Amino acid sequence: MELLGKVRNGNYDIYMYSDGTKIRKNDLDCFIPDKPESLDYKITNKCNIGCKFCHEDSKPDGRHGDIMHDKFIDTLNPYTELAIGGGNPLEHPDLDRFLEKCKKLRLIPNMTVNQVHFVKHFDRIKKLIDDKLIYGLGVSLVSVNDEFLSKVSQLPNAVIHMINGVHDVDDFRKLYDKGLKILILGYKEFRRGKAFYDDVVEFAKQRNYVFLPEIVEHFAVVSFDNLALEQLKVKDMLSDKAWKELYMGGDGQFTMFVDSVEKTFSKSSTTPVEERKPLLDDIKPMFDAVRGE
Amino acid sequence: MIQVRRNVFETNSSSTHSLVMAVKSEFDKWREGELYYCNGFWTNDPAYKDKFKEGNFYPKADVDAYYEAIGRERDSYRFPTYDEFCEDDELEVESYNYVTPNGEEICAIAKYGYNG
Repeated sequence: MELLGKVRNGNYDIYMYSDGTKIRKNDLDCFIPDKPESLDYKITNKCNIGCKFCHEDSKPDGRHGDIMHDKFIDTLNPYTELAIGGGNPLEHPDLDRFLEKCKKLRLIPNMTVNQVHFVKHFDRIKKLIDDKLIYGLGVSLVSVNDEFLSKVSQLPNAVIHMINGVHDVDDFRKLYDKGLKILILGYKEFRRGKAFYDDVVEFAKQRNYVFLPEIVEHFAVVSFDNLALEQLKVKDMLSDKAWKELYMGGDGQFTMFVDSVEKTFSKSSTTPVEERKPLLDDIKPMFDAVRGE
Repeated sequence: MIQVRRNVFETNSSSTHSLVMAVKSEFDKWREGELYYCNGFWTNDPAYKDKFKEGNFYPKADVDAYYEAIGRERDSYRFPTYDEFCEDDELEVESYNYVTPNGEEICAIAKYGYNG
């Protein structure tokens, strides 16, 4: 693996490698960041109306974020990761220009797309990766098939997103022993939805918890978001030493969320809309506000 | 101190799960166009900052008056009618009805995707 770069952030150094490996290091007993290491960056709305409203781009309330004019981007540390998503980020008309800008700023853009879009736009996505405009690629799994496996296997930095509860151990088994990387996401119970929680989801979550020791043996990488860590009690599987070294922190500790469509920021994308704050031109005061929450 | 993330970049999730639940009388008014559902609202303007809360229903007249005051057309994503909420090319949409032990009739519309 190649070292992409090293940067000082607050009281520690970050080493960023071409396979996604990140190392935080200092001679102290804690890491205090000055700026976020990673930004969840929503560039276009998950819009149920979709294409029919694309012609409204120029409107203030359009469905795409004005990503070429988000000034805070210029104030990020080099090697900051941008976890770009939406919506379907490939639909954003300024995506390629924005990624070129990120490259000049030595940022690390990663992107998440749905499996359907991934297969459909594979050549374009592969070119973005080959041109080092995109580094990590998240692919949201819909169903396992030969075409998908053939394509995803060509991209060493692709990670397959699976939702704990929506996907159960039988879905994981279809991907076993192919050298793949997966990210297990927690099942979100939003708003009033909690009252309507599905028994099927709960059953699948329980099975995944039971079979997790088996699952981790069959992938090149198994990673988790914070919600999945909690739901699958991953900490119980690890020694204290391993947990301390591998756990990269809670939401808002080293990361934050920016919605370029609504021009707001918050600790994470699950922060209620009314608690989000208006976007500023400098990342530092925004990150300070997030960390102060 | 050292911490290591091995062999994977940070990617985000764009999964979607949402559910609108309402008592039947409220639901019927929404379906008949007397109410709008607030699917998310935020503004910098102090005059309207606390006017609407996500997840609640509002009389058509109140929402229309707001958009008239700010000189824009209603945003059907933020304040959908029942038909607009249900019209979806990408997400699965299902509706449910049930009665609570106290006899209250509840309606629910669930929208979800596999876009993890």
